[in-house]
Amino acid sequence: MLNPKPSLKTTLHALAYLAPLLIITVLFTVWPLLSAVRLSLATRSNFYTGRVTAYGWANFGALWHDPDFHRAVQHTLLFTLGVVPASVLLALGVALLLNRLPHCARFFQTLYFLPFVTSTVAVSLVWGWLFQADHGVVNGLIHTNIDWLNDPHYSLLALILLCLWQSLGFNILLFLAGLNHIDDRYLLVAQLNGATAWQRFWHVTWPLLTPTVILITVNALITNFKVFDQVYALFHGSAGPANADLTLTYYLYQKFYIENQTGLAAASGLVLFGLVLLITGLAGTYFHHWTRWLRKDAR
Amino acid sequence: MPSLRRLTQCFLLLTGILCLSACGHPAASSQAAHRTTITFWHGMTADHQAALTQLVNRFNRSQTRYRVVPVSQGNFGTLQQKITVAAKSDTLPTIAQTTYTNVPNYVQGHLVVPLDAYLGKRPFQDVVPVFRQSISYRGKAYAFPFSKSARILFYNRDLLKQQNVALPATWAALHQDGKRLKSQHITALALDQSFLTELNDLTYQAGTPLITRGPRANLNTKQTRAATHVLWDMLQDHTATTAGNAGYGSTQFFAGKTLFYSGSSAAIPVMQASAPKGFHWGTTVEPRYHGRQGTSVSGNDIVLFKSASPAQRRGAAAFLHFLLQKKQTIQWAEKTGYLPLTTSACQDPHYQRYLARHPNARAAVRSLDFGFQDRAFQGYPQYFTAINQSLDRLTTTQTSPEQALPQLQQRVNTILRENRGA
Amino acid sequence: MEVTFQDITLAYPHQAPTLAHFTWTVPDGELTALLGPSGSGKTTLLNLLAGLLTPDHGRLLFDQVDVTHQGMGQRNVGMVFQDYALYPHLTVHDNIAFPLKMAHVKRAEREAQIRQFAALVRVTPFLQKYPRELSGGQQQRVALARALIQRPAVLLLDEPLSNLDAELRVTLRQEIRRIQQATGVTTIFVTHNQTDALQIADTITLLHHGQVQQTGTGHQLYHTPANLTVARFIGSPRLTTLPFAALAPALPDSLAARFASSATLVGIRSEALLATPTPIPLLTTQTMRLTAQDFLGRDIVSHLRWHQQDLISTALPPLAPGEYPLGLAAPGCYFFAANGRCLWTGGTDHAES
Repeated sequence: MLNPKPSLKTTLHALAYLAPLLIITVLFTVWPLLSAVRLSLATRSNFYTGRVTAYGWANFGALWHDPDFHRAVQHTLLFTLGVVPASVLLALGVALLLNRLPHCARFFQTLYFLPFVTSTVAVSLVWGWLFQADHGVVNGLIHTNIDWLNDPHYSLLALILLCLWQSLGFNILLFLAGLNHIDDRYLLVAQLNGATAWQRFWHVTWPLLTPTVILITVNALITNFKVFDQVYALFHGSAGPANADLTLTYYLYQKFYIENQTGLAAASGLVLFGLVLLITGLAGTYFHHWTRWLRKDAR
Repeated sequence: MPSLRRLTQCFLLLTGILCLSACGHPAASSQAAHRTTITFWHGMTADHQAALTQLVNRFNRSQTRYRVVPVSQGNFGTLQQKITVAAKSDTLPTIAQTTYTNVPNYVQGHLVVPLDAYLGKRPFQDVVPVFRQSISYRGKAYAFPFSKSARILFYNRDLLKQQNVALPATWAALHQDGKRLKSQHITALALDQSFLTELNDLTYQAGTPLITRGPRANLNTKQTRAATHVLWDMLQDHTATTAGNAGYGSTQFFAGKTLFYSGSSAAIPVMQASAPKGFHWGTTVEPRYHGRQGTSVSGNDIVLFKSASPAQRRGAAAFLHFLLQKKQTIQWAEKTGYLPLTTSACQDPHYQRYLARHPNARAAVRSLDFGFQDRAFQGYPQYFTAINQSLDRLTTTQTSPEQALPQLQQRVNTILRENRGA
Repeated sequence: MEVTFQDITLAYPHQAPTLAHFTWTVPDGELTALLGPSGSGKTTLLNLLAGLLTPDHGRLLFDQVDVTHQGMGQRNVGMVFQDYALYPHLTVHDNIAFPLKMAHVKRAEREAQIRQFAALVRVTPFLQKYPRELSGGQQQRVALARALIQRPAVLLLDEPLSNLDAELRVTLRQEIRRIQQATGVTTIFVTHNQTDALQIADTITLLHHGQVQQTGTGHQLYHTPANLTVARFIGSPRLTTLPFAALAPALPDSLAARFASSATLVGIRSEALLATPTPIPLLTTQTMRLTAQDFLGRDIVSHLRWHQQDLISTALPPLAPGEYPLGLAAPGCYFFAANGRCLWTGGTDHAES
């Protein structure tokens, strides 16, 4: 009975095993997505009854002309660009150092990981305090007098710093896992092959770490594209001074919960979805290209 | 295998608990089985929640037919989100706290029913006139006034005496005093993060409210620009400051270098609890503008959802009726700092004695004589967001009213036009 | 390049020294097998050579140059690991090119050398493949090329054949031998497998408990073992031992008398027990009981019983169990002292002094 030929019976059998996950996926991912598409195309509808009386592209048109939406897209891109590369590089650096630390690595690992498991509300509260203009620690440290949370020029930077700090621990952990995965012997051979410390990193560690780097980058991109809680908590339910921290997800929240603009909210959600899909797709292609060596049928 | 056994044990234990709880529940409430349950979602916390629970308990004790179950949903923000979600999933409570400005949206969504049929017109006759403004939408009573407050001016008693400043009768006087005090490094006025309420007051006092019948937006009129300048100029010459990210101006007010704080009377209990030792403060009504008084009243109301059964609707009406009774509304006001809901309660000797003992509560009650509320209309939440964003730009960037207001007018026009079409 | 370990002592913390006053010389240009069971100190020696470990005491010389405190990169040691450790993200070409690239060798020069070494180890057809796509033997050759291209002073091969199947093992042994002879690089071949060592090496050093037991050709180690350890380790089936006292009465009187006071143990190789009559000169002929025979292809392993002693022979024809007169030949019969030293090796008495 090894490897029975696929028949209707065996297919149904397989389907039965897959069913729980399939049902969950359809129920909680596919169906809401389709609902969002329907909602975004509804130009005249009653959200509560679900009745749609007119369809069209008006919601997307409105987004196209809404300066707030443009701002949200712009902020999201700026924010992501501010957080992701810095977070990935910092985490890699710290992970490399921790990897060399013989004794207190665990302690530091825990220390770095703490922000990630602390509630965003608590984190934002503490950072709100650190960012205070008059007696804030941040200003004290860098000898400035910046009103971080009330000056539209700096509030996005404040948000970036917070998210950077918060995400660092998790990325460090992933990098450490990735580094552990690299056989020490490759580095040993490289050393015997006459590679300097930098050459060993650049020609051995880095390429072998590529899958981890891509995973972390994509994960960070998606997470940061959807940043919301930190904005909400840091600015007490507003999008920062003069909307300077209005992100895509915050825009969606505002349109949906505050302004009852369900169609616009759904449309902006779809735009967000499209952007994330695009990024994931690009990253996937890149991954495919750079990790040919992982597959047996290379080239 | 031991792990499998443990799993089985856990499963059995869980099943047992479920059975017990399933059996236990009806047994415990068999006495109340014939009572109709009225669920009441609210956004009250801490002392306010305790005061509400007391009222509900008293109502439940006085009743054999209905039982009100209050459910706190955290703050007003989460309460609002819960209602939206519950409306979609058909799990709305019988009644909920919300602002009357949401009523047009709920009416459009066929979520709420008018209270008239269950409460009649009579109970509303005694309601304070300014609160009555917000009860009805399109001729029907939907919003029952509940936790209401007025904008008042808090002042630093010691600083006032020390600087020899009189309570300002007008906004101009306040500005004048502020210019004089600036040399002493004293700020005249602390505002909350947004000065929308104050601007609302000013335009109302000028006789040209921001939104008039229609609804029509008057955001870029000469009068609105002038009213905006009253506040904006003070912010520009630093005789006034906004709270920014801190949210409420009370923080700065308590720091001791600020003479006045324009805030909600609902903040009185919190301010009493958090004022620094030895800090003496008082309250008064908002200053005049164009020689007129006018104070915006805000707060939350209660709506009755359509999903409630006829018995629940009758029960909800009984509960609301109970809340309007003199004894209840006075107790509510005294415990929470919100305003009494009826004229008779305001004039009641018992309450008057309370005011004599608590002079800080007087300003808000006095404001009721010249209080007003915004008009509710379809699209109000969008309008509210838009105007707050514009004012935020005025306070945090180099934007002038002349730049911001025309844009705002345009935007609000669009909002109103779109909502008329909807 | 001649490699010399000079009076080296090395101990891991809280342990008895792994090496104590260890001295050993590896001749220049030869293929030396470092043979020993696991735990004998082979890996420690390898790590010392590569520069992964620094001795507590003593010196390591490469052609009389003290390299004891030189780093890994400076020593120019080539190494091939048991599982080859090819960079998985680089093609065969780039793997071989790696040491040259690190040394910033010009591209044209690099390509020429890669072609040369790829041809030497016969991997030219796979240059554009990734390690994953290669068989174990092919990976082995690539690893060799990568180690050789940097023109190492010493080439270390750490159990290079242990992951290969028997057939490939034979082929690769010859390949390694050929490549070593073509390049003339001083090579140390670490193994626990005596067959590999016997087949491949110019010289074999047998290591046990951190001590060199004997250095010599395979022939020397087999036929004239320095001590019991060597005699037991080399040869298959294993050397049979019995108390000298048990065999003494059967030995010629002169021989028995000569070693009566010094020898305690007798070692007998399986090929030294012969069916009689035989033209080979015998020490003695005894009646032994054949209990069983194992047929291992060409070889027949006969289990014998004589005076409460178990003996093994591989020189008997197929026979039915029973009593047979069997002869003990002098070559393949060793006498050992109580300390393990070999006193007599069946006539070739090199160890008698």
